[in-house]
Amino acid sequence: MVKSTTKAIPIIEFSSVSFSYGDRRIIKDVSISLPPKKITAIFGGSGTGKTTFLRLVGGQLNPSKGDVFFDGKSINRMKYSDLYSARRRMGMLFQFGALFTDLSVFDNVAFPLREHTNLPSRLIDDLVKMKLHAVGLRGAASLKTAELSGGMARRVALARAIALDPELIMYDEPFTGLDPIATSVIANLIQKLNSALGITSVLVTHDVEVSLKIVDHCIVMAGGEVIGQGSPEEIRKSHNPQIRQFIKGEIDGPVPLHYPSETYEVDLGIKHAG
Amino acid sequence: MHRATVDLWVGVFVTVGFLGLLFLAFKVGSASNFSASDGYVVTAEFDNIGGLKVKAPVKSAGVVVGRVESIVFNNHSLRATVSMRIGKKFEFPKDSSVSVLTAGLLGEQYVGLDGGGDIDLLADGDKIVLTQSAMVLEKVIGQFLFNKASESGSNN
Amino acid sequence: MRANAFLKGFVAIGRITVDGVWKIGAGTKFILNVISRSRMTFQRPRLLIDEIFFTGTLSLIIIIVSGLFVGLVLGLQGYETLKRYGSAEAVGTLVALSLVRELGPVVAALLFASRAGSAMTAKIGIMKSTEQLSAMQMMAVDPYARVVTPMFWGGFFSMPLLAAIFSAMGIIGGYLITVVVIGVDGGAFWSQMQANVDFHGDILNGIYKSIVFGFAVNTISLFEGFDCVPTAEGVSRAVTRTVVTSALAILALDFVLTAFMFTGV
Ligand SMILES: Nc1ncnc2c1ncn2[C@@H]1O[C@H](COP(=O)(O)OP(=O)(O)OP(=O)(O)O)[C@@H](O)[C@H]1O
Ligand SMILES: [Mg+2]
Repeated sequence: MVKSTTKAIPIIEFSSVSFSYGDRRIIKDVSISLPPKKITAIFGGSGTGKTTFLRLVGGQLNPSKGDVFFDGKSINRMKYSDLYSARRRMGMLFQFGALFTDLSVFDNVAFPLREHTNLPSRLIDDLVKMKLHAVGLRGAASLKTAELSGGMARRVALARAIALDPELIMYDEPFTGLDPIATSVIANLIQKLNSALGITSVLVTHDVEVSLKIVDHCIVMAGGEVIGQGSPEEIRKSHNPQIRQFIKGEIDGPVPLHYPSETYEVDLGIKHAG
Repeated sequence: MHRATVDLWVGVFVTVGFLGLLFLAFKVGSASNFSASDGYVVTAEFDNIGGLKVKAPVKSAGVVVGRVESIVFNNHSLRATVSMRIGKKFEFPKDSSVSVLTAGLLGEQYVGLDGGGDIDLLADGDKIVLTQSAMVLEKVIGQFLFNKASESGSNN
Repeated sequence: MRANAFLKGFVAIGRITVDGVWKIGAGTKFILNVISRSRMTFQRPRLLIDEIFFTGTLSLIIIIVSGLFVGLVLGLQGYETLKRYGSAEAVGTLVALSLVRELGPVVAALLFASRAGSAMTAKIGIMKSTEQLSAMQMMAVDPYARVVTPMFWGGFFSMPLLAAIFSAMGIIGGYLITVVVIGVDGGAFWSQMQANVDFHGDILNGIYKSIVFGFAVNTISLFEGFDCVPTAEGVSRAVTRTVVTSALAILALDFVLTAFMFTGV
């Protein structure tokens, strides 16, 4: 088990973590650690347990076996109050934004600031404007969340996630539903936040091309297991056919997209099994 | 909605609510006359209280001046001891008398308090000696029939 | 065949029992959790005021209008009946006692459950299904303390006020129809009422009832919201369950409380 050498830098470490919903095992005996102050991407097909992975880090789910360490302490064994102070150091961008629908864009971003600080409202005003500016939505501050497009909502959620300047940010699918420009804006932002502020970032995504350009480390998951990890270069050059299939976006390969069955043509009666 | 608007409407709601409570307490209920802990308690013994119940009104000259607080059976005298709480602002002479009366022919029963002529006033813990029991309808009717019967008997 | 149907019946009974017991246990734990996190609500009156607005002020109109109509009907029916016995003046007593003891707390609570209770369930349910509660947790804000507990206390304070307003409006309605419209003597209306309505025995007991009902409706509404299946359909089912369960709870509790409060002291 590798412990973080430099102090006060959060590091996530899974030590033989398993998790199941009822009888369905979603995460199977995963042991990995994420490098501090780096951007790590987690790749994997839909339903492989990537969101579950992030929820385990945030302590919203508890592993059925093993431990999730955050900054050297086990998240799942923490006292309630310790868990909450650990979460104050994390930011999470939810897959569907999860904005507060009864608050305006401004109030959404201001929410964590108002809950956790006693800053005067002038200062909160400025901070919120800065965060919104960073995601290119300063002009949308007074809009209601219902008036936002999906992509805008994602960016507002991102502004909210970085409001408290966390040490660790988890992005769940930050690029889905964004146009190419917004995608580059967000990708840029993730990179900037990471390098300028020394934030550790975890990126869960399907968008391999964009993310390979910005990340420092990749983890590829399939079926609840880690099937490979390394730098983007290593991943690109990987000979592991499963990884190659995922990176290149081949429809069917060693990672079976389809349940084992007769070939499609046979199933449709175009060809006869033979 | 603006903070101030919300505050205003919450203020309106709470005010209306408390006005409702005050209305119930003073206009509808009898909180203005006396409350349960206010006033003094006097007792009286009756041979028969009929259907008198706890909380029945105590009236003097038709005005509610108190309520029956408890009714217990006295094992020694074999009579009913009734304690009544009389409102603080009502004063009665020591030699007042009480009787169990019925409102209307079949109405609820209450205690009637008739003032006497004494200079001293009733005080907490006093016992009223002059009592008149309830008129029990069956007895009255029974007596009436008996009288009639004996009347017609003597006529023949 | 027969045996099979019997077996199915037992299974159904068993399931209902298990579900019911689970709900009672989980609901109790839930409400203890909610109450134990009340500190933030009272440190930040803003939260409480917003919820009193949400549960109380927004229910004001329906309570006032319903109270008035119930009073009008009671006055009319009561007058028609009492007139035959020559005691039309007692209509004030009849209206006041019916409202203060029973109809005020019960009907106001039923209206509260369908107006505010269902809204609370929907709000919590939607926040859950759109991950707003999760997001709050990840921002290190306790969703119980920040969202659920203020709602609980807001409803808790609103309910007795709403019941009092309902009763007061009902009595005013009764007054309007019998005294102003029909012409019953106004003095007798009020004096008979005052002579027969006891502040402690009737009015306060009615208020205690509404406090108990408020507690029950709030617990049910918030628990159903928190416990719902996080989908659109799940939320809508939870709202339905809130209204049905609350109504049953109010009527059952009313029976129990009446038995304790108003019979043989
Ligand atoms: N609340 C739940 N109860 C039961 N099963 C669940 C629940 N949430 C998720 N799952 C299951 O867990 C598995 C992993 O879900 P998860 O959300 O982690 O996938 P994901 O990798 O994030 O997928 P995607 O890329 O589509 O977001 C899925 O197969 C899903 O069916
Ligand atoms: Mg996901």
